[in-house]
Amino acid sequence: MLLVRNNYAVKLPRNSNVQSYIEVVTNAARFDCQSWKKSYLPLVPLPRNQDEVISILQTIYRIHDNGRSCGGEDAFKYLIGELVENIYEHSEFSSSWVMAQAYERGGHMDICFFDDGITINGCFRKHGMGYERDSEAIRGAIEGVTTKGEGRGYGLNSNVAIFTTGMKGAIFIVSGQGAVEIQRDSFIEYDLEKTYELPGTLITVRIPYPARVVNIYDYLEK
Amino acid sequence: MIILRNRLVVNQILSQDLALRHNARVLFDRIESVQDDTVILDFKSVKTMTRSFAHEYLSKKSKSSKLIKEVNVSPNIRRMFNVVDNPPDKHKLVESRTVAKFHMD
Repeated sequence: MLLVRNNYAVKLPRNSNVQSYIEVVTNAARFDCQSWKKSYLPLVPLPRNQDEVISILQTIYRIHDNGRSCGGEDAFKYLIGELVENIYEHSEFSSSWVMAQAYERGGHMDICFFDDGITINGCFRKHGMGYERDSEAIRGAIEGVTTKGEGRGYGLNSNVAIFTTGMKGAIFIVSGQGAVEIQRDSFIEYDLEKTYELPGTLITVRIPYPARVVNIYDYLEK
Repeated sequence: MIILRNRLVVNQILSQDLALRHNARVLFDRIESVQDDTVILDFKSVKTMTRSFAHEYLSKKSKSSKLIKEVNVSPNIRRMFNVVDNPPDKHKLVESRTVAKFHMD
């Protein structure tokens, strides 16, 4: 059985519960609904035209009560804004998506971004800074290695610090044949074979829900 | 109410939450289109700003032909500008953690 969403065809699995779940979370038609108060953000495409992004971000903020339960307004909007920035600045995507879901009983929230772009190492390679392994490239990006020069490379670096140390959350990044999982006390690198290669970059974040208010300047200032 | 032709209200041009370098560039297109040499940029009602937006804004401002006077800048927006002006060392996110490596085949 095929499900068509946003000009993409999704082959649904046999399990009816999983089918129902996919049908719900890929239904972005209700995204613009002003009364949307669900615990999830459906799979929403990011527009190629950046002029249209403001309204998408504002809707994401509104659905999540301006981040009040997600680390506070400053932190939530900073984190979402910088993650979306990275996609537009570096990935050269054809398609990019965001979705989120809060699990109140589980006490956590997942926010996921995917783009089908050139991957993190692909971006470094394009600038003559490629790494041997894709997992090393992800590590480099997290540590603030940048293709853009002085004063740059703070986005992902500060995001990881705020997510893992400030919010006590976790981040999982997959890009090409590399993956990295970061928590407050651990950093795990995965080298993937061709079978598991992701043609693009996925960043998924798990934060406690509700998450305590985080002062982002604790992580942005000297 | 007097509307000054050289006064731009950021919240009306973009939004109360400033993110993306692209939007900083959009703002500067508007600033450069003002005929006066001096532009009053009103940050009233602006609540948040990402570091990337602030970096692009200050970078564009340093190259602009206009004299830009910012008004109604809230303390946290001012603080974000200071973050860009005084960049800290980047976080050592790997050194401080237990590192493990796996090969999946």
